[in-house]
Amino acid sequence: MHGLLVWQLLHGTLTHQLSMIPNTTSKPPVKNDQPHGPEPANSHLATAGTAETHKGTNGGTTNQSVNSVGPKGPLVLAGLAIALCVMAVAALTVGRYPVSIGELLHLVWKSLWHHDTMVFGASSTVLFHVRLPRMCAAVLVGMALSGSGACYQGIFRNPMVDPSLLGVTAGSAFGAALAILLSVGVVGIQLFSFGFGLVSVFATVMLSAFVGKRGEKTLTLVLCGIVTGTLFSALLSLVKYVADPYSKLPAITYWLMGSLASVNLSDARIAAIATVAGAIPLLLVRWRINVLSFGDEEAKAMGVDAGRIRAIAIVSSTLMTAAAVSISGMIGWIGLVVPHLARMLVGPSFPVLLPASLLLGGTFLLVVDTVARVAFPIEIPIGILTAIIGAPFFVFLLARGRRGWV
Amino acid sequence: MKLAISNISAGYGSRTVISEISASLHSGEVVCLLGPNGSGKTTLFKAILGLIPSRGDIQFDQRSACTFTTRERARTLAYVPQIHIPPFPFSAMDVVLMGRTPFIGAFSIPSADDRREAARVMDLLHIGHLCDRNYAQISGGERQLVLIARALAQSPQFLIMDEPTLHLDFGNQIRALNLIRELATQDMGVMITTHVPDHAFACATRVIALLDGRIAADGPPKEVLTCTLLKRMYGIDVDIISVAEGRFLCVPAMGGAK
Repeated sequence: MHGLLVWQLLHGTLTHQLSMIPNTTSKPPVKNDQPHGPEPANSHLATAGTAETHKGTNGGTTNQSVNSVGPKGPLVLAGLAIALCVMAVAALTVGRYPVSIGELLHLVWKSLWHHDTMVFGASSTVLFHVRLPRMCAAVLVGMALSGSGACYQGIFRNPMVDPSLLGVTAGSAFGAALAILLSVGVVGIQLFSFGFGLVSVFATVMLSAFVGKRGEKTLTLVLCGIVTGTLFSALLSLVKYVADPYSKLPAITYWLMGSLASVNLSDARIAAIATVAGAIPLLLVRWRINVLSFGDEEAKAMGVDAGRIRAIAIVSSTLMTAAAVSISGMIGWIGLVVPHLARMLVGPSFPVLLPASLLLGGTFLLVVDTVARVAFPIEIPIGILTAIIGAPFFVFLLARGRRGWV
Repeated sequence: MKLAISNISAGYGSRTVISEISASLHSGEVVCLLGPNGSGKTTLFKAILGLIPSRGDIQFDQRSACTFTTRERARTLAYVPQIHIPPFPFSAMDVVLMGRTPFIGAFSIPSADDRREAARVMDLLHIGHLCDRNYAQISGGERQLVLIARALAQSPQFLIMDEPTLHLDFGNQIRALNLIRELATQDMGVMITTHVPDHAFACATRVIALLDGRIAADGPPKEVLTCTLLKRMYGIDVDIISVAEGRFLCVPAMGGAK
């Protein structure tokens, strides 16, 4: 994976090929004026329809593209937000202990007036102490990974990049494994994982400042990320090698597969704080991150302090990713794929792409986690499921995209 | 307005590429930067744009460039890079809107006014119809116009264009040169690089010839572009012939490059 990545960054070929995928498919919106569907059984009607729609849209296109953020950005965002809410309710109600929507509303209403939710019986316990934290964690982790993935793809100008690029996941994995080896408890695992995630990105940035090739800053940074990632992967293997093969090693392996099964409310709270703390700066400078996808030099010539914006983006993304990984373990694929799905929906402009990625990522991981929880007799680690569900879905979208995705 | 460069030296790491260059660019001028590969044209551009550190002084109307913020500089001086394709399928409008960045607050996004301004600039260049088209899918000539529109959206006083005729077909090359002349008549100061001396004859009011990181000549094309200078720069024998309306063409002697 890393080798491939270097090759792409050096040659830029795959980047272009991949970027061409949506390109070859997008049509000028005027084309949409043609009547859709299985015409022209009745040619009379078809022509009449064309003339009318043509008149209607011709006046609208210029106006719309001048005045709105994107052709249909806000609408899609609203749709994604609604989808997320619907999924959230669904995730709270389904499961081995079904809770009806009426019961859900009743319990929520009651809980607003009483603090101790334990007193309402089994449904309440299931809802507030098992499902709610897990639902929140799934949404937050999905948001964090997708948001930082979209951000990384933009600032590194490469659609093949995911949040692990600068070594944050490798560091987090090593931290968690080390914590398991040292038996420091659940909170310890999270702290170690979070801490080492930050440390590894810090090491990457320091390393690249030390190597310091002028003019090749991005490439140097990515190569240093690979160095750090490889180093922490090796350290992880070392920890696994010395771990007790009957108790510690399975625990490490299971953690690495990723799971939200043991998340409690305080974990969700930590994830929420870190995700919000990371997402706000990204949302604030979202236009400047957009300009950065034309490269440092052009961005600077357009008045963007490229170095500072990149630093903000990296720090925020790292914070989000490290927090996500520390409570969920390794969940790959989302940070790479969700930004692509979002781009297909709302286009590449970051001010819309970022919120779309956040919403879509939250929904996607929530769906996958609910499936993981409900569909099988034994719970399958979510990291495995994201790939199994996501891969064919992505291929389907790519294939469909070639024919026209707008 | 006047852009004045005095004693600029710049390079990469310990390697100095251009040394002690002094030149100027006035509003309404088209300055054509000529020079063989590796003579320092791009380095000079980057130094003027503040993309690489340089020694010496750059002044916009007596005010030193180092007192400008990145945003202020972007409102004074815009850059038209060589045409390229970004990794994401931005629409032409998205690309032009990015030129409004120096007017957009650090934490905000383009306003309706910015969109109107971008649309106005696109109409000015007769590319309004490209608005919603995918920037990566339009033709090279159109892409060049979109990049020029992006630069104009910065409402700058000076334009720096890196080989604006590269990758364009014969007709579009001439159209681009005409556009550059037109911009200059509207009081824009334009500096371009090119590898075709004919283009300097066609659109430049002044030529600066770079050789090994130093200025070899600076003046009106007719006075500066001589057979001797072209021989010095490119190492080939070139005839300069006068055609109708006082225009000149460079005709290289084939096989004379030995």
